[in-house]
Amino acid sequence: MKRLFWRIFVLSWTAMILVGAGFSLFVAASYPTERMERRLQRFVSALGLQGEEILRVRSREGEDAAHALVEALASDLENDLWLVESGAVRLGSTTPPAGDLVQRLATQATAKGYREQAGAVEQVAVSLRTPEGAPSPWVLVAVNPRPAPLWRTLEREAQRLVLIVVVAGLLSLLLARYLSRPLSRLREASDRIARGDLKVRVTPALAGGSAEVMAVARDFDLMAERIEDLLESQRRLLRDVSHELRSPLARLGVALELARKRAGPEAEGALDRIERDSLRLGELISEILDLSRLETGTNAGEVEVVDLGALIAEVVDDVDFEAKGRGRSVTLTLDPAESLVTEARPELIRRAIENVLRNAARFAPDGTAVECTVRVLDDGGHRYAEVTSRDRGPGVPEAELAEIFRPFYRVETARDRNTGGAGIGLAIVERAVRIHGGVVRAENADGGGLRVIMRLPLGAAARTAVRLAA
Amino acid sequence: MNNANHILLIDDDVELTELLTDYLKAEGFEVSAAHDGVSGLARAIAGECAMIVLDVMLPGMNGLDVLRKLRAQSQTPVLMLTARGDDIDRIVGLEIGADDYLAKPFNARELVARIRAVLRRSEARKESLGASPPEVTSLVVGDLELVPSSLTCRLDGEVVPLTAAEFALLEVLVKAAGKVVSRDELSEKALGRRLSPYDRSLDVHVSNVRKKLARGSHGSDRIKTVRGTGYLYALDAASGGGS
Repeated sequence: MKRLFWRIFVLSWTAMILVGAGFSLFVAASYPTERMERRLQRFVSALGLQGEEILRVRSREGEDAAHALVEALASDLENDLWLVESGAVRLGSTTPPAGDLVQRLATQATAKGYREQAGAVEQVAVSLRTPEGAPSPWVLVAVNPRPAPLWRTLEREAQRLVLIVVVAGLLSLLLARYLSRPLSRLREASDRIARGDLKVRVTPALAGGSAEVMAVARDFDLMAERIEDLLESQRRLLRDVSHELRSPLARLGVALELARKRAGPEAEGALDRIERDSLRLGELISEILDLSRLETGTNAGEVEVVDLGALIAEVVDDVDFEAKGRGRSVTLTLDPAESLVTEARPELIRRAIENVLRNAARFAPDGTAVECTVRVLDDGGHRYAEVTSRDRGPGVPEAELAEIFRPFYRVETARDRNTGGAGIGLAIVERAVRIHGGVVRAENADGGGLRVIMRLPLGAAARTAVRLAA
Repeated sequence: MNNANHILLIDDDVELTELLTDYLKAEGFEVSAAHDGVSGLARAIAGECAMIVLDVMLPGMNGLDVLRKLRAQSQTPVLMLTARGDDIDRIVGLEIGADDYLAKPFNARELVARIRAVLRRSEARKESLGASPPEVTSLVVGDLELVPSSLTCRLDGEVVPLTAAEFALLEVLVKAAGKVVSRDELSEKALGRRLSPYDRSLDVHVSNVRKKLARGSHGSDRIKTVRGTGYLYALDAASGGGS
């Protein structure tokens, strides 16, 4: 996003500077030829009128008043002024320069003004008329003694350039923000959707934007709403179906026991089969409901101070007991000195670890052991419990290691259909661990078998994570 | 209580109650059924049954409300049927005085085993209540006092309300104070049945007792979990209040 912003900013800034500089160059180039000339002419005719006014003041109020007027006029016009009568300087704002510059100019004087350029210095002589309008021997000579030096011109140009750059920069900033803001908002929103927050809507945030932006925003919101609806209805369907399946399943269980009582021993095998499968169905249904609860964040159990070590030991005992019946075992390696007391939702953690271990035990070959290892890691002041389960089973193809945490994901090749697949046990693990601020991943162990590694934060990190994820 | 073998089923699933009635009768129980909370509660309070099997999800008044109202008047043992995985339901159920719970769908043999265990426990309690003189049976460890005849638990002289199952569990632990009681032993002595894998009722009871006793203590845990073994009523925590 930053990149788009900066690109728009730099492009528009450069364009504005180029236009501004070009325009001022054009103005500067065309200025002297016409407008400078006209300004000078106006200056000269104003000079004539001013000179006649001085003559009038001199004849009426005397030499001193005229002198004061000349000085005032000179400082006004930033010129040196002299009043010359028939070649003799009568009055002046300063003493005339050495040589006969003033006299020479006076002799050239005309009613319209004689102009002469000496370098950057402008020299003007205007012959004056009497108050009655008759020609007089008086001449007003003006010399510009302080010509605008080159550096001053340059300075003025530089100031103008800085101004252009600053103003153009500000405008470009606004423009870039204006153009990139809707995009960055959209980006943020799509990011949040990607992370699973389907409640995001962008129309309110972009209200008042241009028609095109608003159209995109509306389409975006429509899309988000549809995704949310679809997901929600899918979840609801799954949940409702599971709920509805539970009652017939409960009846089936009781009917099965009744049948067992009444049927002879020859029906035993078939009834056992029915019982196993209805148990499996029951488990699946409760897993679906667990997952739907975890995803909606309801009923995740209470936060308690838990000794993870004791909890894991209990789970290992239970799974070991169950696995022994099928010729497998579960072992636990745990340093009893390590404190694993933390804040957690014990039911969730229990189910997560149970699911991982039962899954491992299910795929372990007969006569092997599932190894459960618990270690405490210190990662720059953050303490983690690392719970690892490792089986000696067929493992999972590398490309599918991340997929096994998806609900109902089946590894096509190795894990055999008779075992019932991973179902959603591992999806529950992933969500339960995430609620505790931890991570879970799977890898194929050296020497065969799947290793599932759960990292659960301990201490303060656990507290904040588990309280936030309500 | 007219009949020590009379079970009242409160469940809105009529077909299920019919099947259960058949099954429980074959196991030697007498069974009656109610299909909503209000009539179920009325039948339960009428006191014609020895035990109640109560579903949490009921139309009208839900199972937890029925249990709460029932406990205000009667100590008839109750086994709750909860939706599997609904931890809140079963924790709340046990907290307000259910004697045990079973997740639905359940195994019918398991249900019968649980019913027998609960009935046995309540029989034993009634007998001990009738047999022993009340003044002898007080059990004191540190600041904790248990009176089995009246199911009273006092902590620093203050009464802590415990359900029958919680009291039985605490009694076993306190009698063996300072020694580890294995989970199997605790389940058999306090709940009257063997512990099966993935059965969490014992832990839920222990957790409830802990919460109730945590009040007034200085953060130290009276009932300690011993990894992989069982539970222990810690003597140092009990005497710690005095020193």
